Amino acid sequence: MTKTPDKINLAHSTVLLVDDQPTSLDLLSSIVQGFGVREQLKCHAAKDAVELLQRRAVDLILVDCAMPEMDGYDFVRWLRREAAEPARFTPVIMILGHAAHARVARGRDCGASYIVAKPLTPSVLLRRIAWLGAHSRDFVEVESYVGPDRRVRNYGPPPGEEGRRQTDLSGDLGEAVEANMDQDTIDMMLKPMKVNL
Amino acid sequence: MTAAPEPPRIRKVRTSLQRQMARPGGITIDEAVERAEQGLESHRDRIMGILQAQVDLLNSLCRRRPPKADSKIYALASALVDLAGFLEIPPFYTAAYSLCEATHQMTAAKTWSWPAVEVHAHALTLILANDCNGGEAIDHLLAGLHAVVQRGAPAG
Repeated sequence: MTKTPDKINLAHSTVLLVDDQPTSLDLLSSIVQGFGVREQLKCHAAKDAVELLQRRAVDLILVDCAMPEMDGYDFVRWLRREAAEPARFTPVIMILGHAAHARVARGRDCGASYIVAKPLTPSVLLRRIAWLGAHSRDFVEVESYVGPDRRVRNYGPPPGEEGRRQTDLSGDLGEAVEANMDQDTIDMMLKPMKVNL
Repeated sequence: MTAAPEPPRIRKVRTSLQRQMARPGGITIDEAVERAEQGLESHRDRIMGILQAQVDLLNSLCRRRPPKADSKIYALASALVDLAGFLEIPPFYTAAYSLCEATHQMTAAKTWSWPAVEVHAHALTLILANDCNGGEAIDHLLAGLHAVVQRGAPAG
């Protein structure tokens, strides 16, 4: 794994912003503009975003979870299951306002790459974007879930980054704490043995 | 006999975002954050005006106490959280979030309490009047709201 870089280059990227609240959309747009994004596209409804993604590709999507008609969760589920490739692999950051625990889990299970709860600071948002740009996650497709591997917690935060949870593991491999096993010992462990039951 | 479930398909994917961000150039993280914060700051007065108008609407609903207002109050509280969540105004954000929690709980438990809403509306008004600054009095106010949510609002 590579360390999250100190610089960020969004000068070639197109970002899609989806939020039904015009003021929130303006604020999000201001943040993204500050990050140096080349092009931003705005949709006031998830249905408009669906239509847009059927016509053209984007590099990153920021979507609010709470919207009338089609909400953020349904939008991401559509993207992961029904959109054509490579659009369905597009990283998605879902933004939550009042984030009950169940909503965070719902966001993770619909296929969002990251869920960011408000208050939304540019620093937190940019860090998530930097992670998405620097680190790969497998894309998982099973009947009950389609999206980036949700077991990201098992890998811990990227090297050099501090996690936010007490249970976060480190992504770095430390020095060996004891001597390597010799080959005979390993062979013995793998060798089928007869047992008396 | 039921068909065996399809095995999981796991793919290594390199996204277009990764390709674009790997290109040479860019700006430092600190510079990008600073620019974004400046951009947000330019909206501050407008946002504070909107928050004030929404708190006025909340106070007006508290005075009128219309029936079946739970979804309206939750939508209003949620809108306050949405906007306040972009600015560095922790006391206001905490109070608005607390109103969301209280409304959510009361709706789920079917125990609507206007006094619980009123105490939040009052706190939000005071915080706005104090320019969203913190302090001991504001801390007490927020602790009071927390207690209201923790014990579950009585019907009324």
